[in-house]
Amino acid sequence: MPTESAQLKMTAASVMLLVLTLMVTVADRLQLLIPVRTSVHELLLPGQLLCRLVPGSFEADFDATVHQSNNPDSADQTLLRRLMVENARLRQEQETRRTRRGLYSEADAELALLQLQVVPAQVISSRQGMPAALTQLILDAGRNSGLRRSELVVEGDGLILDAGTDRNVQTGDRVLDGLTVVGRIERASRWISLVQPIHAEGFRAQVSLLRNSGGTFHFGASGILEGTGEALCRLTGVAQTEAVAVGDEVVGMDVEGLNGPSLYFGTVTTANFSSGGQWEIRVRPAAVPAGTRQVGVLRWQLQIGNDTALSKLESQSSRTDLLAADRGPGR
Amino acid sequence: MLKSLFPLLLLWLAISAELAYSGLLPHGAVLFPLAAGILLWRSTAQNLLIAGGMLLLDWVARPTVWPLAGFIIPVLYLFTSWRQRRDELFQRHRRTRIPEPLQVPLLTLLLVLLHQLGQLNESSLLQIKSVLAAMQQAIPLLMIALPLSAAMALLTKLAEELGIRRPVRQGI
Repeated sequence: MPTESAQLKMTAASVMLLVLTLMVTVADRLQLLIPVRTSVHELLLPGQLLCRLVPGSFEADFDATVHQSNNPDSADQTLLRRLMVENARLRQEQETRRTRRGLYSEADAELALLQLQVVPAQVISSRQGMPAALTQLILDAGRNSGLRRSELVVEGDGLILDAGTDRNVQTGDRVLDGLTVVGRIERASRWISLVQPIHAEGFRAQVSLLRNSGGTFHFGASGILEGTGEALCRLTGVAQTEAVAVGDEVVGMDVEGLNGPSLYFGTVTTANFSSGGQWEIRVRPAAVPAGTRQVGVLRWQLQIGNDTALSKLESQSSRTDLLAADRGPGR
Repeated sequence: MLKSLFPLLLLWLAISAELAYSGLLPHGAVLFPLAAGILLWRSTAQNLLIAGGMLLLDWVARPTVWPLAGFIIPVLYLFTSWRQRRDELFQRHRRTRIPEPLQVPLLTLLLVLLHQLGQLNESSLLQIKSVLAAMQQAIPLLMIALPLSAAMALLTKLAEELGIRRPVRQGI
């Protein structure tokens, strides 16, 4: 039986460990562990190299790691890596604050040079593309009007919409069902356009993770959502130092690189570590193309001749002048 | 000092090996049985701190939502200790004990299950479907961790027979 003092020591160690665990959890929630995480990985790097030195177990990235560690400039590289991590963190923080500040307010939207426009469209085909009879009909009608086959969107596996270039729909525009992304316009002809669904091979979008912790939402790591041609999409580019959980929501933070409304893509279903130092994440798309009948095509539009915006701007500037006059010339 | 250096080195190598062969070894496949084995080899404050601390370090390096695997070790010890004191106080002698060869595999199983649960966020934790899916994902991990923990238990028994380790009647 252990002595009284040994039991006391064990109890003290348990309490210490418990407190330490709680502190680390809180620090992680406050994002204070990011620099520590990098140091821990550096601490584990010699062990990884040692493990890979076991004969017959060389992997492709081993040489790269060894060369990196033998490099005389490894200290600089470590510093550079730390700075890159810090830079990414700051950029993410800035992005989150910008979103929280609500830059996309109504007043700003009216005065903005670029404005988002949603073009409503009906889905005129099922998931399997356009019916053969309708395809032939369109081809015949096109031929009679002197059009060539390449000018008509009649083939493809995605949805076909009844909106085309005549309604300013262009290739690359996002297709939405509410705020859920269905896909993007793959090809657009004059009257109809073809949608590439999220899960289709070749679909790519920059996304961020959104975590719901007891009613509070936190933005997490960013990555690239890729269609695989199967039911689940793949999320790449998320480093293993980032926190990822099954059930995290996947949202898009921008539309074509510009700050717009957050769009919903789906939910993380599996998250495992892959050998490349990244998470291997699978995402279930929220949109179900088979059941979608009405969609909206989202696109930016340049507002040059907008009279409402001009009058708003004038009223704002006159208000600023009045405020300056109130303050007096001495101030 | 040397006595605590060896388990520390062993756990450090286990994390490194899992990181180096992350394609082959699932997260915790080597670390959890080793931590359980070290903890039950000699139930001392040093080993408790080393095993718990390294599980926490592993969580820092490879974070999930909750560090449940590292959290359970001190909780489990405090619970065992409290139960033992209660039995002593009420002079109870009939105590249900887990057979010693099963202690390492059971602790490993507990660590694996908690690690899987720790990957779920609050909303998913309340959904039975998500919990079951997480448990299903633990199967490849258990396929490595459980045989390894059984080997650890056998090694412990062998060490007792050879006189390397003193039999301890108090586990965690």
